Order: sequence, then C-alpha cells, then structure tokens
Amino acid sequence: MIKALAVVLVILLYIVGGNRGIITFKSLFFNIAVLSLSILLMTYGWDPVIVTFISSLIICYITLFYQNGKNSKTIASFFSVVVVLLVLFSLSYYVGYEAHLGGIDEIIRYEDEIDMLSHDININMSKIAVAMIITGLIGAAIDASIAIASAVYEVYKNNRCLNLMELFKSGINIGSDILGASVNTLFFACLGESLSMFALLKIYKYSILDLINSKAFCQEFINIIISCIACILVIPLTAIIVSYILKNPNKFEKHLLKDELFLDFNKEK
Amino acid sequence: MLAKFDAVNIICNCIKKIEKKYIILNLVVMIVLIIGVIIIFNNYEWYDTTIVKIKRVESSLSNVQSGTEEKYYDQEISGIIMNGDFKGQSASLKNEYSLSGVLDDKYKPGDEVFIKINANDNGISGSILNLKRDKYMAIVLALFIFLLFVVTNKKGFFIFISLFVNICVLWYALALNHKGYNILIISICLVLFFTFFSLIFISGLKKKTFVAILSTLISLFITMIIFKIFMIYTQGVDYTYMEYNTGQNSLSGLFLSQILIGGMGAIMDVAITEASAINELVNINKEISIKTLIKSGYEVGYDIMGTMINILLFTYICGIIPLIILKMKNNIKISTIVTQIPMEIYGFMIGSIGVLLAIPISLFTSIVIFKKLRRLI
Repeated sequence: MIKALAVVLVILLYIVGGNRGIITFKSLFFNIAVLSLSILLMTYGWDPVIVTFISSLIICYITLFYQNGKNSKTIASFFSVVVVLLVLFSLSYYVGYEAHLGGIDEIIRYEDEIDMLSHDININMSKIAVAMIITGLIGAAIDASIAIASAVYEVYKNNRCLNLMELFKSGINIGSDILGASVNTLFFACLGESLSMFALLKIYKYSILDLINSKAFCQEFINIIISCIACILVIPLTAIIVSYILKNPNKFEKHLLKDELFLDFNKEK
Repeated sequence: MLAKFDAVNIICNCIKKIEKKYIILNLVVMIVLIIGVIIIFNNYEWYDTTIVKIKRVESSLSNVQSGTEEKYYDQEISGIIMNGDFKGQSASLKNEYSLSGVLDDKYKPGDEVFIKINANDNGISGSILNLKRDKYMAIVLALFIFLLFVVTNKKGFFIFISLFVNICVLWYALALNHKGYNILIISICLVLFFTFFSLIFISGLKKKTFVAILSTLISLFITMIIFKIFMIYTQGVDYTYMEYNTGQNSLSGLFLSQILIGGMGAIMDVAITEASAINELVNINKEISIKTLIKSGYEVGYDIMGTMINILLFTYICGIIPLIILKMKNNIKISTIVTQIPMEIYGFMIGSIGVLLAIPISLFTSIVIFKKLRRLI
C-alpha cells in the first residue's frame, strides 16, 4: 500500500510538475534523508538540539539554493529564516522545559505498543520536544519567506524607482495575504493528525480546563502556535532584508553574480 | 556606517508612517493580552483539584538501572497549597524521575502542580497528578495574537477568528461522535463547514472564493476516491498501530477522517492561489487566450507545489520523532517502524497527492468559471 501510493505520488509529480516536479522530488528525497539522519544521530546520543539546528540549516540551504538558485531572493530568505530559527529556538527551549512538553503523553503511554517498550533510553526527552517544534516549523517558515521575497523582487523588477520603505510596505501587504493560507495549511495538517486524540479526550470526558493542562493537547497545540509565530515573524524580516539587498546590491556583489536583475550592473563593473 | 544610518532611517520612517489608529489598536490589544495572561497566571480558583506551588525540591539518586545505565532520582518536594480548603498551608510531596523523562517529569521550584490530597496528623501530603500548563499556553497564544496584529493589522483578526471558531466547532462536533454518530459523516460535514468558513473568512465574499471552494471540494473528493480504491485493491491499512486507538468505535472511519482533514488545508491553499491568479489575469486582459491562462496557471502551481509538499512532510514527521526514537532505542528495525506509523505516512502521501491533483483541477475550474461562463453569471 505504501509502495503503491509512493509510485502514484512520483508519477503525479512528473505529470503535473514536469521538470520542476523532478526537482521537487529530489529535494523532497534529500529532506527525508536529512531528517532520517538527524533522527539516527539523536538515537546515537548526539545532542538533539544541536543536531536539529544543523539539520534545519542544511534543509534551508538545500530548499532555497537548490530549488530556487542563488540570487537576492534566496539570500534574503536564508538570512531571515536563520534569524527566525534562532529566536524560536530560545522560545521553544523556554516553553518546552517549563511546560514539560517532553516525553510520551498521559494517554498513549498506556497503549500496549508503548507499554511493552523499555523507557530507559538515556536521551533527554525535553530536548527532543524542542527538536520536534523546530522541525515542524522550518517548512512553513521557508515557504512564507520565499513567497514574500519573490513577490517583493517582482514588484521591484516592474518598478525600479520604489524606495526601501515602499518595498518593505508592499512586502508586508503581500505577507498578510499569504499568511492566512499558510496558517490554514499548518492548522489543518495538525488537526488531522490529532483528530483521534481529540476524539479520545472527548471519550475520557475532558473538560476545557483539563484539556489546556493536559500534555497531549499542549504538545500539539504549542507546536502549531509556534509554527504560526514563525510564519508571522518571517514576514517583516524577509521584507526588510530583501528590500535592503535590492536597494544596496553593491554590498552583496559577489553573491549576486547570477541574479538576472543585476546582470547589467555586474557587466558595468 | 551607511548601513546603520539606513536602519535608523527606516525605523523613523516606519514610526512616522504608521497611522496613529493602528498604534492605539495595537496598544489596546497588548494591554488586553497582558491582563489575560495575568488572570491565567492567578486562576487557582477555577479549579476544583488542589494546586500546589513548589517552593523547595531535594533530589537524590535512587538507583541506576542495570544494563541500560538509566539514572533514577527521588524528589522530596515541599510547596504551598494555592486553592481549596487547605489554601495557604504547606504540603509535602514525593516524585520519582528518570534522566530521559519518557514517562515521568522532573519538578523544580516555581512549578505549579495538581495534586490528589491526603491529609493526616503529620501534615498534608499528596501525589502529583499533572503540571499546571495553562499559563504557558497563555503566554504562547498571547505572543501569537500580538504578533498577528502588529504585522498584519486587520487581516490578522480574521485569521485568528477563523482558527478559533474552527477549533471550537471541532471540539463540539466530536461530542456527537461520543454519542454514537459515525465519525466519517461528522468529518465530512466538518470539512464542508471548514472549507466554506475559512475561505470566506480569509478571502471575503467574492467570486474567486466560491471558485476556490468548488475546486477544493472536487479535489478532496477525487483524492479520497483514489485512496478508497487503493484501500480496496491492496491489503489495506493496519490500524493496530494508530495512536490513541483504544476505546474508539470506528478505527477505519477515524483514519479516513484524519487523512481527509489533514490534507484539506494544503488543497485549500492551492485552490485559492490558483483562483486568485486566474481571476487577476482575466481581469487585467479580458481577451487573454485559454492557452496562456493554462500556461501561467501551471507556472503558479509549480511555485507552490514544492513548498506545500515540504510543509506537509515536516508537519507530519515532527509529531512522531519521540516515538521513532523510543522504538529505535528498543532495537526495533527501521523497516518495522515504518509500517508502524501508518497515519503520518499515509497522511503525508495522500496530502501530497491531493496538492498535485488540486493544481490542474483548480486551474480548470477557475478557467471554466472565469472565462467560459463569464457571460452567464
């Protein structure tokens, strides 16, 4: 069943996406490989937080520079996603430790599947919780960031006399339009994943107050909210960085050699 | 030097140009949120269960598991009771934790816990039930709402309302499941509601919204039919490894509902993007040919396809990291683990297939409605 579905997925990628589908498939494959490797390293006892940080940087690098090429858009996205990652690492570290989000929640721990396993694993589950939150948000952060960077880039391409402030404002405007859709995607994916948990909590007659204190719900909920915060934070950051790069290309000269917008500029040099 | 000057300039301009109205609105939102968080921090009286604020903790090594080298610690905890009949009195508690903390928690001074109380002559003791987590939820939620308002002004309000209403509707709809209604039928109704409500709330009562709703529903329908066909012609899904499966009355229905709702957001996103793009193109040039429309529509689709599939991948994988690590540490083979996480893998695959199908479907629906049926509507 899994194999059959995977085949359908790959064929559809090729039919719908053509060449772009193949690139998507390659980067998807690479992302899965990086994620599996980082999970493997965590089980070998490497520090989960550091492993996640490095793997998310690699994923960013691959998704941005391999899928979209090296230009002012991707450089701006890369910087803003890295800044957002650093900010949210500290936030999720604080919340993860203070709210005890690590470990297996109070409901699935009694299922046979978990019950039979040994729990002495010598890995700090609070750090795994931080790793979980960060892994959940990189996809969304990169998506929002590249969308805004391309939009600002297009605006500048069509109207070169806009100043930094106007570019920034149009970035924010476009960002607000994109945000609704990104938040919805994240929200429904998480909701779908935790539908069975909700159904079960309902069977156990959890009240709203029980719900907001339970580990099962908090793990899911804080995960979505922090991903959404990442999407929001990345909007002004990308907008300002991409406008700055577009207005001051001479400072980033050596990185923009392949940028079509600055080809003339480079030739003059 | 120039960079610094620029940065200062931008900030000054920013402050000047933002209208006063928005600053006041944001200040009001901030004050309301801070008051809300303070209330949640002191809401001890809302609970019937006794709450203890931990003041002092003494930890000591109790034993080291032979073989696994896992260290276990005992904690002697004392704290003050914050609500109920014994309010203000001190209580002493016991706790045991392991360094990994898979099933247990390490407590520290400042934590607040729910306890089951045992009063006797030697003072009050009790057993810890759960940590009080609502205040952290409040902090994260307040931060989210505040940033939403600061960055997106009015739009953020709509996004927040639509999320809030959706989660409330889901919570109350699941009560029907508990009463014996079929979960799959509830989910289909929920999907209809979510699609209409979220799309109308986020993009307004416009023609493109209805086009997006129509293409979302068609794409979802076709995706689910494909999945159903696969379920029939292959050996199907093993539900025993689904999480939270104890006590559920219809596992296959629940599984289908999960996949349906999980893929919905991404498909909705593709549909609204395609509909807005085609709408924009037709509005700018009324005489635009269908061939050009198809070409630009696919161009838009290519741009979102990769990132959408990536979002689905990361959202689904992040939830199962702890379980995978736990199982790998128990020497279960990776090939076995892959078959034991059906929900996440199928969710990701069906979601991605849905996204890919939604690109041509929403493209053609938009073209038919905006171009062919122009004169009829």
